[in-house]
Amino acid sequence: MSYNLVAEGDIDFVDLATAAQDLICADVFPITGDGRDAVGIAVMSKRTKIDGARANLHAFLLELETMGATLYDLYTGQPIEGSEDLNATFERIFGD
Amino acid sequence: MYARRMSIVDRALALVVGPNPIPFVLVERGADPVFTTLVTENSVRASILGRKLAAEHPDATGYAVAVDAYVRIEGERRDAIIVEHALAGAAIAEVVACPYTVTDGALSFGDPMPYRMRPSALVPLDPHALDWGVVTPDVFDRATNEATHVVNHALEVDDARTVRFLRARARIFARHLPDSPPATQKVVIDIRGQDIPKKRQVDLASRLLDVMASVRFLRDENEDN
Repeated sequence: MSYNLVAEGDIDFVDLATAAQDLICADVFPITGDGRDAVGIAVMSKRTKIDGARANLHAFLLELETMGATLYDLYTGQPIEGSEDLNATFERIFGD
Repeated sequence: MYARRMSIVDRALALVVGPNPIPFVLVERGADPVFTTLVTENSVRASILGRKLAAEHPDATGYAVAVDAYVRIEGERRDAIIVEHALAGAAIAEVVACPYTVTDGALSFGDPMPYRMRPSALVPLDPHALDWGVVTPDVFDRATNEATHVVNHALEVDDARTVRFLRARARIFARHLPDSPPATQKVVIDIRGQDIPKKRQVDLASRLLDVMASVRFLRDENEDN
């Protein structure tokens, strides 16, 4: 089972694919078409207990934010806007 | 070739205005170059925007995107203009770091230093061709050679993102799953606790059945089939 996020907007696919190599707990893949660039992020529940997984994912999501992408939590269907939303999403993913 | 490429860097650096340089993209196209400043929140976004603007010129003979940043040279943090540049026809862009100092508001540059290489913005990029690392099936049954995706999304809010997500996930999985014989993929969509009418379920499934062997909905026990 995975917890799914989508990031839409301005994305540097080259740099993001490089960053994805270092992700501990998630698969990342490009989503193209419909005139919108995006990436899908599947956080694998069986890997969320690995040491450093939370900080590692957080750093990756910050990279997306720096690029100017908007993050959506597919469990709620809502954009993740600010640290309060992100904390709520991380609580559901990591259970803390 | 090298001299011509360096001249783009030189021409770009000549356009940098101190003491607080503003990012820009220079698109060369014969005698009619296009210079555009890039006003964004940070240098990463400026680079992305600069590449997009360069790509919008099919007649470009070359481009340079210049942003202000920091680099570490022998452990010392230095101001530098980062210039990404490529000529038309080249698959790879070279990125150089040009350290600078400011004296009386004017910038003086040191020699450009190789920084990195990346695909040229003038060549269409297929992001699916990049290496995205591992893929992890929710379930993979070796006996049936079948990968199962399981998702629990807020479909009452939006299902278009779910369709895009699953189609893209199926596409990248297809590259990694066994191909002899070819593995199949299916999806289980958990809609328990959501009011998703049967008609919408059928519609959603119809948008996935060309990439998934089957689409199954996990519903509340008391819900009619």
